[in-house]
Amino acid sequence: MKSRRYIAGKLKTTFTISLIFICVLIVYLISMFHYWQGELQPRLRQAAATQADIISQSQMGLLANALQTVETDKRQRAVQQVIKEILLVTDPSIGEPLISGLALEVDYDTVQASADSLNINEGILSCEGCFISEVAVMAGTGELLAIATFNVTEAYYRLLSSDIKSKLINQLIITLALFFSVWVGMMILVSRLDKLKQNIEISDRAKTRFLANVSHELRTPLNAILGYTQLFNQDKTLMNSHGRGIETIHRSADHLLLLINDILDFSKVDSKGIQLCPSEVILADFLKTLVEMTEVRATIKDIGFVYEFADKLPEVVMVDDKRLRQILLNLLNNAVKFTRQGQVTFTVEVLAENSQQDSDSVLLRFAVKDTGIGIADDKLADIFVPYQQIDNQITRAEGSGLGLTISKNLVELMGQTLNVQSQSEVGSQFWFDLPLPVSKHATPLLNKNHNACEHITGFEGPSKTILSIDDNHFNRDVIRQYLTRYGFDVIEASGGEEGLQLLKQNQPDLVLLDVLMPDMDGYTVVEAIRSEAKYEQLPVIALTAATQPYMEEKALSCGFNAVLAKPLEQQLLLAALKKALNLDWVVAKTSTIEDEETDDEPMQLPDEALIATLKEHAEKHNILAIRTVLKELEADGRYQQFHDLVAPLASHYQFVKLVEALKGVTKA
Amino acid sequence: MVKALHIFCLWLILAMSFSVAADSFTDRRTSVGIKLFRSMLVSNTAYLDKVTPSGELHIKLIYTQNARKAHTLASSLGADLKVLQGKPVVLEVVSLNEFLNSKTPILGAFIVQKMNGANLKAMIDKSILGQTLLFSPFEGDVEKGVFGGISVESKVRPFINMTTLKKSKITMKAFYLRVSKKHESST
Repeated sequence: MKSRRYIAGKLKTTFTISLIFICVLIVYLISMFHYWQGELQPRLRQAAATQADIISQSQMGLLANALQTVETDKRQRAVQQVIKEILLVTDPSIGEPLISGLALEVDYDTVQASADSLNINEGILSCEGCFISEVAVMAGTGELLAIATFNVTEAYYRLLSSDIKSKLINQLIITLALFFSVWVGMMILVSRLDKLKQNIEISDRAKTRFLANVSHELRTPLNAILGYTQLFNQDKTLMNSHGRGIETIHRSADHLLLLINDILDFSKVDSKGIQLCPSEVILADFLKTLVEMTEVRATIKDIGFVYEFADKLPEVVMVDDKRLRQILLNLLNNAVKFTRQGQVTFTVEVLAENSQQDSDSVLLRFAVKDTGIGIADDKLADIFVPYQQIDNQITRAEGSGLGLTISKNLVELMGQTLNVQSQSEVGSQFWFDLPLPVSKHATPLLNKNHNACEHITGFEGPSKTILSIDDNHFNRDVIRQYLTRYGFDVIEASGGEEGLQLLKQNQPDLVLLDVLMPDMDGYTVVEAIRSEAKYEQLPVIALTAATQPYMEEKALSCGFNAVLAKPLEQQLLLAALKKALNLDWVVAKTSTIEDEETDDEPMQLPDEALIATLKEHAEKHNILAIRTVLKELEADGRYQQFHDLVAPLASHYQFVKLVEALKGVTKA
Repeated sequence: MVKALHIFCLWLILAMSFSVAADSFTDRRTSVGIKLFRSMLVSNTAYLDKVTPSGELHIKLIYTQNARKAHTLASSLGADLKVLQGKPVVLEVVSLNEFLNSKTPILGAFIVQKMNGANLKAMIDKSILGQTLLFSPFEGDVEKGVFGGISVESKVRPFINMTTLKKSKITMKAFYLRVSKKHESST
């Protein structure tokens, strides 16, 4: 079927090109015919007529002499003799007489002779295509003696015509040969391009498949890593002893996930796979989050961060906050990353407001300015090229090189343009304008309590059994640990077949089902579940590490109730469970780990001598000595809080800040 | 500086060459025109109206500045035109004003130098009024209303303004008209 469609497409292309060429050929031939008929032939005829005039006029002298013969009796003979001579004149190139006939009309007022005695008609006086030339025969004194009408043959015209025609035909043949060569060349070129296009399409499909597989393969282990770190993060004892290591693993895995997401986002935007999902967003909260995130980074780098938001900013706007956050965070992170000293300025201006009866809208300008390393003019065009980074010490070995490309593509997806102005060693400014609908009666849900899950201890009502089907042991383990702590009974299956058996044996309340499994994929499993009437209402939630936009749609149409992406976010999992099982959470009034730490007894400080030593090392920028002291403090355990306060500053080489922090601690 | 001088010299030479070429072309037309003027005079069938009381036929060569050229042409024309249709011919070289103020009947007048628009118009009006056969060898004058001139194409022919012919009531031999090129538009 596909092959038939391909052949039909190819034939259509071939036919179209051939049709164009045939049309051009017909137009060319018609125009050549018109040129011959309308221009060249009349011009040749004109040339032949001129030639006939010249030939005729050249004979005038002979006739004038004959007509002026003094003896009347000899005059007629002389005239006849001259006419015969004229009719004999032959052009060697033509091989036939030039003049086929001659008629002489004499003015008997000036020539003394009896009437009509000298009016002589000789030869052929009328023939088709011949040229008639009337010439005045004048005496030397200027008197008009006679009018001679020459009938000049068209032999010269025929010769000229056939000569030009043969040249024209030769040129036509050469042109047609060139034309056909171009035609054939074009067909070959189109055929090759078509083949190339086909190969590119195959390669593109393979790339997409590869990306999907890589995405799945990379995200699956990350699911386990991040899952465990989230679990460990809630274990106070574990965090006290191995908190730093767990945080490092979490941050590293998170960074890895960010890189993978960057690559996937790029491939999605590139293949028009991203759909914007605007929702009501509290602009002030949205911007506050961005400011807080950037402030932390700027403080660590010891650079200034200034934000200037217009006073008249609308309260709630309709925007895809996830994508807008992605763009702005990318710009802000880049600005911080590439600024060694000075400051980063984040501004949001109102450029225009449009108030209508039904809806208001506002045109906002988002701008991020830095005093960083800047970009040279000749490199400015390269910054949006995928996988490309301006080569310098900062960018070398950092990031995927896709951030700006993704941001630019996302801004374009919103129908706008990402602009940049930059000067090397002075700084850069990125900005874009965004028209946003303003929501008047909104009940925004942006301000989610991200720590809510930490207070949940269980749920009300009878116990619930959850069947977790996943081929990956670590993923199953993470889910089991997540769920058991909230009071769920978890049964596990490592594949589709086993899952279906356990389903029949245990009658669970909900199924968490991995989509991609080696023996039987999630779609097949859910279809098998739904095929039995008693499981029609059983909630089945899909878990997938693949991120193609069509996956969710496909999963929902196959019978899943919801789709959760791996790595699993605890909050999203709990929300999905609450919705599917109609649960009421039991929330404990306990504080978070951080709160507990804050509420604990005051921070234990090492002795003053140790603090002074640490300060001295910091002043001398002796990082090795600082690390040794910090190791000792960490090993001691009593000074964990103090260690946690100073260690990040040391790890980021913030020696000035470290000295100030130590001074502050001493004073306290 | 030297380069500029070279360019100026080149321009001067080219300008002079064009001027010489143009002059020789005009001279050739004038020379051929004299011969056709003579044939045109001979073909005038109403010549008897122009015979003066003293029995002469007056022919004028008109100039504006170059009298010498007019005299040269007059001697060339006069050599073969002492008598016309049996009447003695009086050939005179006159200035434009003299021609315009002339009272005697004039059979034909030959324009020796290119005239400007106003002068040509005055001459045309005078020639129509006096039924004088006015001839100009210069290109474009016949179209402006001069009675006769020359047509140079594949062959050299007399060129006659038929409107002026009708207005001036001059009659020409049918033979002559047959071999002439005719201009029909009004003056």
